[in-house]
Amino acid sequence: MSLVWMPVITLTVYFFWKILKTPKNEEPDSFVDNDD
Amino acid sequence: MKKLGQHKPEAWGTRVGLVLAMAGNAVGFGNFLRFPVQAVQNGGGAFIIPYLVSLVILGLPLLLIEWSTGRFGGKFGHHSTPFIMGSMNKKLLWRYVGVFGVFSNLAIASYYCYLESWTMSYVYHSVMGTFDGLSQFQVAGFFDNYLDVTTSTTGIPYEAIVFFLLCLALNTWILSKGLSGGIEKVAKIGVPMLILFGIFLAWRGITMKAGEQGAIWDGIQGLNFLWTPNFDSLGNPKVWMAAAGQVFFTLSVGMGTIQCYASYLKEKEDIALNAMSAGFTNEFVEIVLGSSIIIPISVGYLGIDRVVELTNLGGLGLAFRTMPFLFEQWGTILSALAGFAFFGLLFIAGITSSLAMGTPVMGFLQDEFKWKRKSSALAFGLSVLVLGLPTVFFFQQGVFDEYDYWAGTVSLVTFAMLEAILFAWFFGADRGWKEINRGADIKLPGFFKYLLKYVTPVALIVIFLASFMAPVNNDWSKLSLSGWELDNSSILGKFMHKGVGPNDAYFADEFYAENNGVVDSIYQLRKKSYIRVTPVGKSSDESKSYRYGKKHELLLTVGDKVRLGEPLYSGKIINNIFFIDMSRMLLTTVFLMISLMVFIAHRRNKSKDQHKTQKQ
Repeated sequence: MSLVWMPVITLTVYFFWKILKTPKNEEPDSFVDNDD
Repeated sequence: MKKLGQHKPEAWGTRVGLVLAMAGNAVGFGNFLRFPVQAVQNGGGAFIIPYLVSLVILGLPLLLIEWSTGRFGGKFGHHSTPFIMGSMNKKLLWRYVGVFGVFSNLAIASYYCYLESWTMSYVYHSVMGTFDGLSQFQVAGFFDNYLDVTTSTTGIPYEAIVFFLLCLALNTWILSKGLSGGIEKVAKIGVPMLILFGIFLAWRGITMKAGEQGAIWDGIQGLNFLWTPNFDSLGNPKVWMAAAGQVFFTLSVGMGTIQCYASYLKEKEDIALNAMSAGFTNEFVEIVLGSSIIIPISVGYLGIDRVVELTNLGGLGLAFRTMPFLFEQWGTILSALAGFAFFGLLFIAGITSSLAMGTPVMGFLQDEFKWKRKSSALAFGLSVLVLGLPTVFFFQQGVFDEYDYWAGTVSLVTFAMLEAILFAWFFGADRGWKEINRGADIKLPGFFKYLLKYVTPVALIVIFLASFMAPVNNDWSKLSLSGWELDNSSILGKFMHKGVGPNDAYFADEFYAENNGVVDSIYQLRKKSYIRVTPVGKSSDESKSYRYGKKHELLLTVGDKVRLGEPLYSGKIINNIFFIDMSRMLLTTVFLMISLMVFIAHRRNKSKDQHKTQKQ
């Protein structure tokens, strides 16, 4: 069970961490909250 | 500069909001109710092997295909699959294949919202203490009562319909607020709440101890039972099909919702990392939380043998007929909390999925017919109501199951197969791979390109063909060049009404027995009359109860022997096959109507383009 749980939890946390750490693109993106 | 009166185009508010909305789209009832049951029935812990293989060769590639085709079509202002697919290849066929991505959502939402309304009602009843002091039989009876829409359960007349209308109204209202103002807000609050509720229930279930609060087994033993591998099951193709099916449905691929959500991204915004994040959030909820709630808790109280029996009735039965009774063992306050958390997380899982189903329908109306957001939300709500009411009123006659089969199973597999073929072999896998990697914030392993080009489309064709003509009991050793008996649930078998039995006319003067045995009981339950036939020498678990009406005349009495096909009662009878065929006609009509709308919209766009060319 932990053989499966650990990689799934690790990958999920990793991907979210990467999203939060990735800097915003220089060119305008589609996200409303990033509009000036 | 914005013109006066010009409203902002739809867009996601934040990246995290988009990923949570996509995760919410994927996370549904199946994560908590279907996965654990499939695992128990298909080899326990060994099920994870075909499951992970299916995730890699089917699930993740389809996610990448749908995210990238969505973003691609969005470039041209298209947010629904008929025109997204039309932008990928000029052949007329693909526009009409794209109709699945609108049709499936409308048809599935019509019964899915009904399910969602059950969870809404059960949150209410859990908090109000409705289940306090009820036996397991009474809790199961409450559910049967609830589905009998003319019966009120606790003073609310036509309760099932009231909650259905409330649920639809809520969906319509949130959809009218748009992506960032509506759907995203629900996802940002709902998905973390769902995870917290799941962790609470999982912790409670796993830490249950035998002898405490009526538990006969430790909760951890239930968890171990689910995860103990039975490697023998890996030799059975049925297990591999079940795993592929589970991965498919859990990721919500083959519906057109992912393409729609992704179509609101700009051309160079990342999809690789976003898709992986949303996909793995779904896998976390399914594999970690989903496996830790209903099975450990029910095994803790009922034991393994009884739970295996109950899983044959499906996860919905376990959730609504059994779990409220089990929560009651935890005392008044904890049982109310547990019921609120369990049905609350099911409700959140449901609504984040049904909102996703609304967006391609709205996108289609807004893009191609210039409808405003509020009107298209209302159109979605009203259409779901009209299509959904037959599933409410004729639930016992098989309408719900019929919608679930054609819209919720066949459409998805067919559409996924066709979109994978379009992406890999018509749009081109090389072009598609470039599209997936444009703006990517992570580097995807190169083998995915070869999966997308060669493996995924072929695997889906095999799955489609297997579903089309599955042999009886999914026993693939029966395959032979001289033919084989079809399973009742195969697509061809369904077309041919295989397994319908002796009551195969729409209208009849007599109703025929559908099993052999002896009439051992004629009884009334909740003001309905039943005649029960039990096979000779078998327990009542294997008996079949036939409901008959006040105007019907019974032709047999207790003690009479019955053979399959012999009349049980006479009078004016409408058989289930009538409702089944009417459902099929209704769904086919909806599909054709959407196709007609696509035709009209395409003609209009074409003549506008020609008009523009002439002016130049």
